[in-house]
Amino acid sequence: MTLVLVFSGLLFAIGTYGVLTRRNAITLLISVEILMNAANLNFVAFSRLWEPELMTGQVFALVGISIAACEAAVGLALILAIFRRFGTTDVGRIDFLRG
Amino acid sequence: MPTPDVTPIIPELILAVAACLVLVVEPFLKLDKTAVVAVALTGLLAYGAAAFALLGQDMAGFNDMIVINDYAIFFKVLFAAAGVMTVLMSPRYLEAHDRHLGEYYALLLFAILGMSVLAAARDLMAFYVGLELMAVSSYLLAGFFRYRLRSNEAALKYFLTGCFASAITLYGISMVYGFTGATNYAEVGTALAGGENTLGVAFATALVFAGMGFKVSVAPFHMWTPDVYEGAPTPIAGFFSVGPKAAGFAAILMMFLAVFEASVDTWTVIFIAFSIFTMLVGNLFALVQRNLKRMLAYSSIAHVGYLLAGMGAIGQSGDLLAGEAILLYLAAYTFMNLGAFGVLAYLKTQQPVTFDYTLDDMAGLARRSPWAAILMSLFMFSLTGIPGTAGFIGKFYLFNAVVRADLVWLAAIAVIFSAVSAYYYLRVMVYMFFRESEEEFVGGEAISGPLAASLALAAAGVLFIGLVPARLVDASATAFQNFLGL
Repeated sequence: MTLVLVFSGLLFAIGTYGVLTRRNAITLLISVEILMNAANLNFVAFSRLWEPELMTGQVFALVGISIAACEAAVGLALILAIFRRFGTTDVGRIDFLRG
Repeated sequence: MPTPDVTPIIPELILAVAACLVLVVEPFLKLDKTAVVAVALTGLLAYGAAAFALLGQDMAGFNDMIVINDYAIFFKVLFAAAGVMTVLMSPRYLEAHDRHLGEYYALLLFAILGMSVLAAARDLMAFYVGLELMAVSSYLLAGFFRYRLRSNEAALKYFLTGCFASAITLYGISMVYGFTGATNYAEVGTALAGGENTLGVAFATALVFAGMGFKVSVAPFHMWTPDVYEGAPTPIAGFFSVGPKAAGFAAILMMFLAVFEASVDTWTVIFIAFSIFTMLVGNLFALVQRNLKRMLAYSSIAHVGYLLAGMGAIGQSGDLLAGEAILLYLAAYTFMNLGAFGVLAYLKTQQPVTFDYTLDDMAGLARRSPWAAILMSLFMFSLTGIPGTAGFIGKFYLFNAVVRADLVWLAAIAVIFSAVSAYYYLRVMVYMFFRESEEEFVGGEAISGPLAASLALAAAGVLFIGLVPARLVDASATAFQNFLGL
């Protein structure tokens, strides 16, 4: 149990670090996915701890996975559209709105 | 297996059907999209009417995940009004940009569906699904002009920050589940009241607060707001500034009063601190903006600051008044801000190429298009909080509630910032009425059609709430009291 929680905490740290430091849109998307999976792992672990027969947490993890899939689909579509316009996926270079 | 009772989600079902119908109808149309607009409008009106018809009901469904009560209905009707205004102001604007497609309305309806679920959720799972439905539809709406650089950039920024915020919220929720073993608000609240694991719970609370702070653009999580509003289609920017914010606050109120009730002393301090910082950032940055969409974005951040002060007042006193005032403020804010964006959308349709939302573009507007200038002035007066408008009533009740919670100094700060905000709101009027434009404009057409209906609705809302507030005050009072009886 502790091991799983430490692992999920590590995933959370890695995801946050990735979001804060990386500048490539696809890497950012992957970092966010890592973050969401940290949460999903938590749900499954806690489900086993609290109510092995009810599985609320496991259902929540499934819901989380399907929503992450939607986000990835929308995100990749956006990134594709941007790559066609800008020729880059570097978010530092996509910066026309300021003031 | 018994059939679940669908009464609590009848309005949502109507909205979902309407959104799917839009997608079905759209391929059969060529250039004239009137039918799609009609379906979307009918769906929204039916949704609002169904919610209104359920007024006074108080029931939960689907294992207590979703409730229908006056609180949820208040927000549903508000979302329906915001949706109707947004739909009405869109056709001309989209035609001016050659992007009049049915998907736009379908996405808008799905976003409203998500907001509606968010306001009615009584379970962390329903909350998260509503939040994501709203967010994913919003990303696509922000990037709807996919051949325009600005719209692309706005969508990418919104997507990346929004996803990060959702993921953080999800992690916070998973920790809450870990500490309590429940996802239902009432059960989680009871379990947390036991008071163990205080440090962990505080961390989970902070994560949820940060995630929701991103969504409603609390400073310092507001960085995306001005860029997204500037790049997104104008009616959508207007919709973002009211819809997801109202839904976010509906959820925040419920979250922090029902789920994190045990740690009320801690989060009161946090809300007050963030309230002051948000008011400061929003108002100061709004002062230096010359682009009106960016100015309205920062002003919306400032308004979030006032609302957070209201949250602080609830935590401080447990007084009903502050909660009612937040609902009232959100309603007033919906009409005045959408109205202001509606006028901007109208001006853009008149000069699709030259108008760039800057203050200089507003110069001499009173001469060119007196009605637009008058309506814009009304909305600016209301946003400032001049008596006789909705903004005044909202601010009056909100600041009054803050004072009643023994936070006189906080109310004083809020009033001072409101006075500062008068500078950047009234400056727009100075440009419209007292500056002459440098270029000659060929006379545009008068405000007409659906856009006129949308602006009339917004103006009527602002004046109605401003001059005869009693009905709405009663409505928000019942709604909030009803919500407390969870």
